[in-house]
Amino acid sequence: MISEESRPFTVRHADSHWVITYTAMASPCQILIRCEKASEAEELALLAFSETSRIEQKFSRYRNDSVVSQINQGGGRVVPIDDETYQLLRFAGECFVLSDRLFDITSGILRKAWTFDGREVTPDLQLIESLRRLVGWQKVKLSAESITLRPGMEIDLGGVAKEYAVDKTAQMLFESSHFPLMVNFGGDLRAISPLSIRRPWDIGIESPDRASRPVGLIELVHGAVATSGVSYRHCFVKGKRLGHILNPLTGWPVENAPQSVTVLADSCSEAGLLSTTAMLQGEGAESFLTAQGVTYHCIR
Amino acid sequence: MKQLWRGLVAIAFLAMLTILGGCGVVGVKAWQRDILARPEMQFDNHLNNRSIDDHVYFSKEAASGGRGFGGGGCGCN
Amino acid sequence: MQLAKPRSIRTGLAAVTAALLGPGVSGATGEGQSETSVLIYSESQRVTAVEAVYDLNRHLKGPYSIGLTLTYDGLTGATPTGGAPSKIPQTITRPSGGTSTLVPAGQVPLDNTFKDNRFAIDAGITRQVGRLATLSFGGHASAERDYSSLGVNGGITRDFFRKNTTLGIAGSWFHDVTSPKGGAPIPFASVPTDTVSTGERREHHPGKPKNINDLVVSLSQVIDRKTIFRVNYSYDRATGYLNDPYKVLSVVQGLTEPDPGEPLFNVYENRPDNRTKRAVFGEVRRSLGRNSVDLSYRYFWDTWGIRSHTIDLYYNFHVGDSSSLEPHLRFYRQSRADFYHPFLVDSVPVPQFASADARLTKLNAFTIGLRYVFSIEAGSRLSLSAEYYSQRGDRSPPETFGTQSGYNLFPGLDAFLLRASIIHDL
Repeated sequence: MISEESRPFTVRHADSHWVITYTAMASPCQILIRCEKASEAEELALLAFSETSRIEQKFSRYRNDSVVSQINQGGGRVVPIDDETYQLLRFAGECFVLSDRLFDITSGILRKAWTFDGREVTPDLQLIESLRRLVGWQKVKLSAESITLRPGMEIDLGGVAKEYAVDKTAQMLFESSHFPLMVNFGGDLRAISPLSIRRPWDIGIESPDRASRPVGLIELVHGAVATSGVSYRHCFVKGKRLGHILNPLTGWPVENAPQSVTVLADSCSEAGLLSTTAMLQGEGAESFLTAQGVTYHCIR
Repeated sequence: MKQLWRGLVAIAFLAMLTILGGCGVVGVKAWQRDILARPEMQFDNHLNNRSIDDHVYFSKEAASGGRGFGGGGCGCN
Repeated sequence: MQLAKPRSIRTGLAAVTAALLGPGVSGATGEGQSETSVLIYSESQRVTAVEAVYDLNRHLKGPYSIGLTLTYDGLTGATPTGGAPSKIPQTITRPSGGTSTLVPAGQVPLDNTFKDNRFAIDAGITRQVGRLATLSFGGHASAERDYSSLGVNGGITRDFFRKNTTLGIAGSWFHDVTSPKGGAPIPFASVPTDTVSTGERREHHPGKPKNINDLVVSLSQVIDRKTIFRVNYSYDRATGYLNDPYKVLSVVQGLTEPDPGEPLFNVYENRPDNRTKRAVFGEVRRSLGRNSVDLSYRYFWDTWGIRSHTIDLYYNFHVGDSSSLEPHLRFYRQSRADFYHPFLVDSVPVPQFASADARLTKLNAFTIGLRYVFSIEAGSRLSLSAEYYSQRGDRSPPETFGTQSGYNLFPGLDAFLLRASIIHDL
């Protein structure tokens, strides 16, 4: 019996729904669900926390025992993977193609060439070049049973794992309970309602400085929202301010990227891919999103 | 007597299935429904095709029923 | 890096996301599905049938969803009359005493003037009751030249044990009327051999009713992450006019007569006025990687003495991103009805019930087929399938004697089924 104080999640009742909170994937996680009894909310909280933790442990770059770490320590060898890992990597690979190579989970190592502490920097061009040679999903061999990276290459699922966790947690809770629900991991969220009960959840889009009022309000019955950016990490090169989003093809930060991009889509994974790819377009973020026909919000 | 024996076997089988299901010996936890959610893992997902098949067999064979109703609606048997 | 005009990647993205997350992504938003199918059934040198079906499922506001099915059936071609072969050519007349057909010597008589069109409509409504139960009601109406049917059905389902177990109970009631042209024949009356209609031999009641009650109890169970199983028990009771007004039996010469086994004349058949059918059906479906296999078995028994076994096997291969290839095998075997007689013998007392309908005798049937389903655009799929169906039976049932021993009394059946359907996600 887990005591109240040592439980990793909390469950409380709001007017017409229950609120489950915990911390995972370096974000405050909140689930709103319209179940009827406290016991149901408790059960679902445990389910949600277990699933979120499971995905975090499996795909976190920071944990030595994670699948991602095992892959990154492969050193050129063939690393066996399970079906879920294969599906997620395959998804990332398809996004690489759909985004014309801008979305690339092997581009994480480029961060070794940059420090975004707000100061003037002189980029090491040789280092950037040598790191660029280790970037490129086309250099990865992926099969249903295994993955092979070239020595020195690394994958970082930070750009897909949180959105994937939102989708999986939401779908799992819905499939087991059929209650209307919304899963929100630090601004990446997904709402699912059965067709027979359609009451919207109200979501506010925070302004970058967080202190002032929400800059937008979304009423979401069914669908997802993901936000890219929202960080104050930047640097100056020759007096020009550059944000922290790195273009995998050039190795340099994207110029004139919006401060944050929020996209509405059917699933959090889709919304996340679209918002990240939009950020990487820099100046063309808005026209990219308009061409996709999605509802979005860019803050510059 | 044979009917009674058949009935008892059927009930015993169903009772076993229900008890196993209730105790969780068979069945899945909520977070294990990923594969089961696929359309090919739903019974009656190709409903139309199987029901056309059943109609053809109903008019050419003596047996009917099983998957669904075995009754009327057609003069072909 | 910017493109002159960015292209839309949404469709491609939706497809790869569906592969990652499963159909739950759009499944719960789906408003329904429609399916339009055409089936062509063709027996070599015998019956050809065309069936067109339009099937619609649509979710309405709130907990309701509706279903509608429209069916058209057209049938032409030759079908066995139930008569026995003879060493001389035979003439068979249509029941109304119209045109007649010549049957070659030694052949099982076929009536090739068979032609019919049938229209049917099925409608139903389902209500989600709470999270774990559903309630359904529906109706049926159909009509063809000599047959009409009206029916109602209802059912409930309930989930248990975290939706691992589902129990369903459904019942239906049908009222069918057979109205053969010229009226329903008197059982065991002689079939007229001339084309002049003989009024005294016919009853003048145009419609013979039949009532059918059905009950199906089903239990489905999730076994593990990759396996589901269900078992159904179905019960069917029909009372009323169960004869086939177009089927006859030959009365053949007995052993003491000059030409034992040769047909003398034909009489109309007679079946009991009630029939109870029962069946137990089990099905298991298992996911194997991206493929799946479905195996089912049905044991059937009824009060006419028929017992049958059916085994059905489907293997679904996932091809590419959204296509599938599904081979299919089916084995069927039935025993004969108590009152099945390949023919009657002259001067032997006539049994209470007798029919020579080839569908009531001992037979084996085999189906092999292949189905291919692929996406034609977002939200639409095309399904194409081809199947071969074959029936074989005793060429000489146990009671065969005399000249009948020299004939093939069950020439069998070979048919092809071709089917095309378009499925739209609404």
